[in-house]
Amino acid sequence: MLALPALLWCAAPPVMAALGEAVSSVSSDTARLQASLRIVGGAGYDVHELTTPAGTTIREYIAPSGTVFAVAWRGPFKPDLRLLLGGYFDLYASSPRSAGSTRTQLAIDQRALVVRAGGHMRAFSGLAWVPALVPAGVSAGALQ
Amino acid sequence: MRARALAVAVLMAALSGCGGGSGGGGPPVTTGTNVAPLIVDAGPGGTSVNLPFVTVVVCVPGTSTCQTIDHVLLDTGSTGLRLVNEGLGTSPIALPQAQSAAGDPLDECFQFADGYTWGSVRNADVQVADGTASSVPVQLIGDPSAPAVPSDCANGAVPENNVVSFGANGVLGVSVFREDCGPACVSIANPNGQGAYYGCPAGGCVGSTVALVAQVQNPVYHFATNNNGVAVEMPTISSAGQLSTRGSLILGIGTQTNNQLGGATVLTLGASGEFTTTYNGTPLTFSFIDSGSNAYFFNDSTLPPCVKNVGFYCPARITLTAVNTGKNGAVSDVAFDVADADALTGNNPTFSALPNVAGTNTLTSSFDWGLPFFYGRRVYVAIEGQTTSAGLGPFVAY
Repeated sequence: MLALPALLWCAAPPVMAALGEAVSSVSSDTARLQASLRIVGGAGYDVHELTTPAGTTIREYIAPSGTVFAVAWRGPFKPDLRLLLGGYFDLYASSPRSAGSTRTQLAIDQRALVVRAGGHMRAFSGLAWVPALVPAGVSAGALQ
Repeated sequence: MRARALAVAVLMAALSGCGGGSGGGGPPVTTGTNVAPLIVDAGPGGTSVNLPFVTVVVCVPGTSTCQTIDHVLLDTGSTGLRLVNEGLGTSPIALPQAQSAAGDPLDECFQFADGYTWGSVRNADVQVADGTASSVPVQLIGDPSAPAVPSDCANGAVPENNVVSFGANGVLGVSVFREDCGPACVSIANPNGQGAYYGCPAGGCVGSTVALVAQVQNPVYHFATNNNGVAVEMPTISSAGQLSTRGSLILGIGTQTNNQLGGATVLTLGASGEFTTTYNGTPLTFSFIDSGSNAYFFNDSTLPPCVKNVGFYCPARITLTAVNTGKNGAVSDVAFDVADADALTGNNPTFSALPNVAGTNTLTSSFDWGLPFFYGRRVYVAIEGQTTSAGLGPFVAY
């Protein structure tokens, strides 16, 4: 887990967005995920963190521009990737898997989308990011 | 399980099954009625490396109508028996389908990181060595009578519903868990908007909650005796690898003279079956031991990558060290060798048992101790909540 300062619990459910979308676009939200949410301020980006009733934690990494540049998940179930990846879902589904991918390890290396994921039932985790949207100075591959 | 393809020759002759005695590695080290032989060979797909297969017998519950199925992957990293319909041959056993709480036919979408299997849940008596689990739910993968795959099951991932994509006639999951999904599927019909269990009446499949006992079960947990876990034992193999090798699946932990823990280090586990491996000074908090993984999978940027076997490491043989720490604070130092995977597969392209093979891990917080870890070891896997001579499971020990 990242050591992130300034935890803020929100009284009203804030808006969540899918990968590549503006945080204000209201394309997906805590209601659809039935998730609790907290916002974490980080260096160079914000993190919206949700925990679904099934126990999976989802983190959306938001650039200063307000765009979600990366999403990460960890928990007993994979997230609803169609919802989480938004407009990038079709690219995710159609992209060739990189060498080294297996049933329990997934790597996608497209110019527009990079995915590192793995695990098994009861323990899935993963990270997807859009290289072009990653803020300067942020190492997307190190996000968790 | 996480078998990664290694470049070896296709051995179609291996389709004859495990009746022959030509495998290397000598006889199983351990004998007894509670011991099922394991074989590491090319498998039904003819290209397997470092995958241990076991033979199971499934019967229509309460009857003597049974089928023996060889080359079922023995997997300490998953839970429950899953049979590939295609691997059951031309006269597959007709097992009765399980029903949802609402009385509809029950089907399951079993998720992998980048794949899924879809098929019916059926009840079977499952026999392994002298253990019998009576009328437990199993999954019939690629069941031709199952409805179409629900869209939220696929979730963008890859179907693995036949023998070639699965690499085995089935998988026998003997992890630390009693059932595959656990409490979440008891209370949530469609976790995170993706499928797990479905009730499938004629009108279409709908996500369904399923009680723990109605989920696909770890058969070992249901054996009359020797039901607290298993030990998996593999012999030391040649540094160049071998055409094949044999090992043992031993039922029970500390229940008979042949399954005593002795001086094994017991590592208790977290909620997802994880312990911590510290490698190069970095604690990897989601690490595990998995007989269904065909190599060590971890990240070390100083190890040279292979040219041919992309995703694997190709150093001159080197000895590395790591420290495994259980949730109970127990500590185990491990030394292991990593060798040139391109040379190992290139020198003997027909070999199916290769030591010292390692590759990268897509998860930065995980060290996956695959089958190479088992060569020359006996590894114990204790089921959650079950009593052993070393206390309650879940734990792994070696």
